[in-house]
Amino acid sequence: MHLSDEQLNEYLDQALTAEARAAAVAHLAACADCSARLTALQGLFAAIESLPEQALSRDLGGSVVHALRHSFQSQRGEGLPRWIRLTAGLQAALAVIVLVSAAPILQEVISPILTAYKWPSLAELLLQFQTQWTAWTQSIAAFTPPALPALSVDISTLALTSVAISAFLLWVVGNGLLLRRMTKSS
Amino acid sequence: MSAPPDRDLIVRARRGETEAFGELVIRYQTGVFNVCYRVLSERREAEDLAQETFIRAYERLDTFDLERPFGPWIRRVAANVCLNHMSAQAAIHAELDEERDADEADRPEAAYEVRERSEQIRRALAALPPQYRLVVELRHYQDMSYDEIAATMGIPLSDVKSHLFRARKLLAEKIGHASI
Repeated sequence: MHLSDEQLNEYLDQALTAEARAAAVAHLAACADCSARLTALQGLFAAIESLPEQALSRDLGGSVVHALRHSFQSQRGEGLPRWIRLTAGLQAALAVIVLVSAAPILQEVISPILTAYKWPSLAELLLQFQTQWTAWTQSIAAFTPPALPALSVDISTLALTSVAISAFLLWVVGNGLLLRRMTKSS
Repeated sequence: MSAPPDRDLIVRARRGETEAFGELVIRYQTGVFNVCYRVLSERREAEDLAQETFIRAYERLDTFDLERPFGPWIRRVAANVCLNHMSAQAAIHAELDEERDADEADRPEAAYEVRERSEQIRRALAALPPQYRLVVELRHYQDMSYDEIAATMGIPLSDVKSHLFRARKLLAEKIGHASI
């Protein structure tokens, strides 16, 4: 019985089990027909793999780098036109001038509202603050925390120091990772 | 001064040096483009997807194992990008773009047998259904095993075998190989 086309394909693709492969090798050695079909299939494989590479019509290096930078700028919100960024100071100065110019008008509108409301004097405000502050400090002083069961474990200075150092290292590593990510995305 | 090894460029690219990544693009752009071209059979589209491949690769650079060669990895990314692209496309044009064929036919060197043979194989590949083209790409040009192809394409092993077998049968018919 001859080898099937599927078996020949899998033989060349190194996809047969060791046992099936050994049987195929033995058969191919004895069967000229299957051996010829295998040679033809090998020729097809060679033809497919002989396809030469085509050249690009443009260099991608520059365009990829440009696209990546543009992407980063968009992420950072720096994609605004340059002239807008340059005139930011001028716009701020203009805003201040407009505000100062409009002050008399604003005063006319706001002053009736301000006079209608009875504002407390500074002494009254200070008195209110002092009263509240005193009440707050007294409530804190009167606070007694609920009694906790005594710890059976004796926490030594060494253990506390280890915990503090571990926390510090964790903080350093965590911030290091964050900085690395920020640097990469910039 | 000798060119820096890929590994150095990748480390620098991971630090955010886009110029270092640009150097990698220059080194591998032809290989990546050819993966896309063999799978898509359309030059302009292949160039666009080659560019997209590098951008995707940059975003995933942290997942690259520095102990392995960069070439096979980036070609595998290209195959995945093509696969996603094909999935997103409602209709895939199987024909080579006519403009390119006309240009090539006008050239005097097209008369050479080798060149004609290459064009014949390229046209035969382009005429395959997209899934078959991708299987051929992964097996013949990226040397993946059946299992790896199944994992990459997300299809059963039996489909890999049947796609590959039918693709080869069609290719043999198109390019005049009485092999299978």
